[in-house]
Amino acid sequence: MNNEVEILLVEDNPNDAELAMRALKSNNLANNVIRVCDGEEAIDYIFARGPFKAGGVMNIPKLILLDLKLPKIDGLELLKLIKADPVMKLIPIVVLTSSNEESDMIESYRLGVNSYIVKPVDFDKFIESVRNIGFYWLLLNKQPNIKNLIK
Amino acid sequence: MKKDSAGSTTKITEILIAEESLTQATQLKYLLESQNYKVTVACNRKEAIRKLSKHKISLVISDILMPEMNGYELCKKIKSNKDTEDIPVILLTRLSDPEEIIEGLSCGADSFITKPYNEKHLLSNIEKILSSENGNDYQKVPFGVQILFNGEKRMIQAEQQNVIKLMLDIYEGAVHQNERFEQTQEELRLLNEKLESLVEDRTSDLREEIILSNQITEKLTESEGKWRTLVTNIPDYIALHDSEAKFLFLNHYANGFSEKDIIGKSLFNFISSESKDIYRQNFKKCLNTGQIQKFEYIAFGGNKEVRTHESSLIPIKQLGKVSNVMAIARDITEHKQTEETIRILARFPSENPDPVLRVDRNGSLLYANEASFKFLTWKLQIGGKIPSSIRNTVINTIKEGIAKEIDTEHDQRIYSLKIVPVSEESYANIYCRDITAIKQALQEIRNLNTQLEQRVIERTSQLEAANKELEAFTYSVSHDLRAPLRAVDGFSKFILEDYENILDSEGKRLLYLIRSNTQKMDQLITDLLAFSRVNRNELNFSGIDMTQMAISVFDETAQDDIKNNISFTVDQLPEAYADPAFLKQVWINLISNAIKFSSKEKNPEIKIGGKIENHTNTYFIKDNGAGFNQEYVHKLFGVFQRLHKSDDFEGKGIGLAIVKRIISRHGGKVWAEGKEGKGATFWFSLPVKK
Repeated sequence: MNNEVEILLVEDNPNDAELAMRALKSNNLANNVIRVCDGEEAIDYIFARGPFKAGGVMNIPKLILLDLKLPKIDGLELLKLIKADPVMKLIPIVVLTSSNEESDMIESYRLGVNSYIVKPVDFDKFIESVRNIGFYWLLLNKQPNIKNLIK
Repeated sequence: MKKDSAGSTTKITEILIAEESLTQATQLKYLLESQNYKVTVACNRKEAIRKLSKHKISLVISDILMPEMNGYELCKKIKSNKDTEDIPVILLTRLSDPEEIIEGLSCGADSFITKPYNEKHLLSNIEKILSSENGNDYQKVPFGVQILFNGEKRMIQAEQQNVIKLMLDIYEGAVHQNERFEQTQEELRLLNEKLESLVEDRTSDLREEIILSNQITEKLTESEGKWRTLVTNIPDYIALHDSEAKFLFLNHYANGFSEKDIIGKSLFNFISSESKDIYRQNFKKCLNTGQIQKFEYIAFGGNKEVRTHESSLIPIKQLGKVSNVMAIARDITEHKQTEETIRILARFPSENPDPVLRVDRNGSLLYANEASFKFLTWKLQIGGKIPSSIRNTVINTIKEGIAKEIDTEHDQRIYSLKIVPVSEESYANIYCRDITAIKQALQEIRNLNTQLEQRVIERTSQLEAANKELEAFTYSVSHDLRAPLRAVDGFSKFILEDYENILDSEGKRLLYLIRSNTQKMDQLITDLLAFSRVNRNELNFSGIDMTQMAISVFDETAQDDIKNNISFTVDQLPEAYADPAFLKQVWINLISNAIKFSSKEKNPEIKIGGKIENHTNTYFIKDNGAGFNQEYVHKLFGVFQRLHKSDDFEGKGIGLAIVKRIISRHGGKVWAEGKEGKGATFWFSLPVKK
């Protein structure tokens, strides 16, 4: 494994974030994870702005884990922004939310989400879900080299 | 030539005419005077003798037939007198009798002229005689001869010249007669020809007359045929009666009558008793006055049917006296009935409680019923103009010929007018109604409607706002209530993993309890969300085969071991009109309940049925399971209400609440019957699609 960020976790709730990190860790996926607290930070990170200025022109994670209920720019808005960008839209985004609402699913898929996972309250099941996500998107799934497209 | 010779002589020639007929004398005188002779007329012998002695007469012309003295005797007298014997005498004779000639020759006449004389012949004779007297004084040879004529000896003493002259005269007369005869014959021939042509013309006229007569006969026959056809086929009765009112003739018979019933019978046999008097009076009057009588009466038609007739009695005269009466009767029964119907119908407008008017094409009022004067606030007058506010509309409607309905306002009253033109009569009937109250009521309804609509809009927007709030609330519930739960569960797990060696078994058990309660809490949240979704989501109605839906829900819900053990029956259910997704949820909840509560029975049974009643579909699901205490039936459909311990039957107490919510939203009802240990029946109803 190299130092490149593989997962961008967008989660405002520190408890949820800790649970997620633990779940990732228990599946050996936590080495290259960056967590941001809202949509604005996520944008700053991707475009290497504000606190993430030193990082270069752009930061392209291999996968974004996105909560929907976020302060400032919420999950659906962020999804819309990323999927509107011709390059960024190539980054797979998995919505990881407690919302089981049909309307949220429909809106997410309409905006081009790649996957929609409801967070189970049962932590054992949550670990199981995270393992499946990591296995599928980071190992099984093939994606183009987006960084080459930026240069 | 006579003129020349007369003119050349110096002496005047005087001629004596002895003629009894003044007309003939005047005629002869006129002829001779036109030849320049001097003429003296004598009507009798005496006058002739006297004039002979007084006048110097050159020639005597005498008629034979004269009274007192005939021509022969005058001639004899002249010839026997010395003074006058040289005066030539011409006798005018018809020469119809040889006697006359013998007499003439005997009396010594110089010439004979036959009557009727030819003027030319007479004048030439006169001239000849006068010229011989004057010029050639030939010797007169006396001539005596005895002849036997008619058995009588006659002595003719005449001079030879005279005899010859007479013969010549006679010959000339004969020639002349012959000429006349030929002329007459020619005239006759011409007359004959004319006659023949006349006969021919007349014959041809006659022929034409015959043809014409034939044509007339033909026409008469045809006319007679037409007359007969007409009389036989005319619907009116035409009858001939004698003076005693007996039938002599009837053109046709009413149903049920034949000739033998009528002819010879008195017409009064066929007249109803109430009409007999009037008929008798009119019949008498017709006979006595000879005038046509017209009247109506009631007659018996065929089959003793009573008919109204309109009759004319026409007197038929013979020798100036009325001998027979012709009766022409028309059956006006139907006409009368129609008149009666019209009379009754005519009461409709007058009795109509609403105003009814009739207006002509000039806008003048022809008729108005009582109600018109009572209710219409216009000033109305029969023959006067209707108000100007509607006049042109009415006039135009009559012109267009298409009925029209209009509303018009007058004096704070509103009238609805139906104008119905009767084109062939050039007027319109107008049916009016005072609709002021209706209009006011309509306006009120309209106002109320507007208010109501406004309120609906307001209420809707309030509801929408409330709904949005509710949505936001449930959304945050689904997110925010779960996050702490996940934390509680997750961190309990952390403790169990990270401090496994420190915790004793009780500590671990308590942590497990914490975790299992978070699971229950999570389920409660899920159920609450499901229930709230039932309230929020829109209904999409469509037709549902409920039988099919119940069966397929059972197939999906029941596990195989249950299916093998349970008796599940579904009757033919009424088709529903509802939201299929929600209705499916109803069946899932009810069927899974029934399965659950009958699962402990030895022979579990589930029966589903339904019916249509009073525009409502009713469905039921009956099981033979645990049942319930009817006392607590009101708690059955409440949220999180349970009538069984959760140890006995798993459940969250939300299923029936959802069923009730769904059915209520469809406008239906749910109810249940049960007895503990004896099974339960759940009912729900749905309105039939309108």
